[in-house]
Amino acid sequence: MRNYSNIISIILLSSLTLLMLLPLASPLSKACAGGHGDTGALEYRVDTENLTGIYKFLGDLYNDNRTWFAVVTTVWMALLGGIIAILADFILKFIFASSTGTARGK
Amino acid sequence: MEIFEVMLPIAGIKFNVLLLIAIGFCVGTLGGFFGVGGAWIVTPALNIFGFNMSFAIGTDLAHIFGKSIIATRKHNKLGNVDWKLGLTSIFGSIVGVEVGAQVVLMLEAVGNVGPVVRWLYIVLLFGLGIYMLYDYISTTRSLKATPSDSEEPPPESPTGLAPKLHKLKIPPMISLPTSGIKEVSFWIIFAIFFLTGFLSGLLGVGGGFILLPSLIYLVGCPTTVAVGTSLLSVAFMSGYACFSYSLKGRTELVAASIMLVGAAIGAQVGVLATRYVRGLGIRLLFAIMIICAGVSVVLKQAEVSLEMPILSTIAGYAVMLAAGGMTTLIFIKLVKGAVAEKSS
Repeated sequence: MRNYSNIISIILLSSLTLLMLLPLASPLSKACAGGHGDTGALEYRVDTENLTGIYKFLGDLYNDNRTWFAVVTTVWMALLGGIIAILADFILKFIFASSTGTARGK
Repeated sequence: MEIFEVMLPIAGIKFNVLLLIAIGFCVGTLGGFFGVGGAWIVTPALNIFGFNMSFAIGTDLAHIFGKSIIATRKHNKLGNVDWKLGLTSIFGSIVGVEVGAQVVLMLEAVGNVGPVVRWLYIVLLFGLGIYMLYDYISTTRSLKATPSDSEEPPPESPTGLAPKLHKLKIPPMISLPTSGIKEVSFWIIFAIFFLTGFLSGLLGVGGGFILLPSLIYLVGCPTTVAVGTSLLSVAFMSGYACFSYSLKGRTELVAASIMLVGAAIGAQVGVLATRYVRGLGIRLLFAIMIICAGVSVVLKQAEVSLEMPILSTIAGYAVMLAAGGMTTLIFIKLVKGAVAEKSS
């Protein structure tokens, strides 16, 4: 249970920091981009004609509402990171448990 | 190899999925091992293989956010994250980044800021790299000169300026038990993170490569705790940057997600390897890594000075080669350590 609370606290703290940092939008994003960043909004539209399913959803979201696209992207990356972390732990535990079992069998 | 090509809907290009996973794996391993984001590796790699620079930066930052959550959690389980220090660092870092960025704006108003910043970056990379190499050599010599009965390496004690800074008693004083620091002034911590944040804002870098040596030599953290705490800081910064770049339409979510899968595996490798490599060994590899980064920045500066665009491509390949080599080395160290542990 403690492991899950760690993940939740990382996600919550990241979100809190994100809100705290919003006023510093331009300087920080330049800093985080390794100095290459042109931080203006990109005037670009995704061609969604040939897209279907989740790709079409993402394309439409990108074209119609950048704020929601940013929220979905950030939350998805945090969630995916959390899910993969839990899965990886589970798999590693399974591998270690089975290798210990084999060793005991010997 | 068309079977491995995946459509990236936002960027509107097709990209090799194995390549994305491989890039993610490399930077995940290095991130888990050194506590850095690795933007300086992924951005040129994506750009060389066909990503528009705008999307390369945003996509890179999005995957770094997810990866740093994975690696921070893993380090946290190994007891390598000093949460108190990590959260305290936010205050100094934010103020420092803002002041650094304002100085850049002032320099821009005065004249040509680009070369000034790039040369400062080169001096810092080589300076830190050479100092860490020197520290490695001198510490190794002194360890050899004082023979010990124990096979275990002695515990790390604060080096650099840290012991002197700990003696300054300016209230409020805080204790950092995870880092093994009994008492240190809050203002010293604030000043150190202000300085690292200032350099991040001034140089336009994420800050992991400045943060790690600062945590070791100025705060006095053991190397593995410095790696874990640095990753916590990277998670905060990259979370913000991911949002900011997505807001500006520069993130390719599908590519970032695929890279994150590779990075997740790499992060496990990198974090586990810190169990088998001594703190000093991590410092040595980190020193080599940032000297390689320095060489790549020198090549980029030469591209501008000599007007030879090929040098930028060479710099990108040099970075990827160094990252690939270092990843292989870390993987070998992990396998050797695990085999030795099992046999003992």
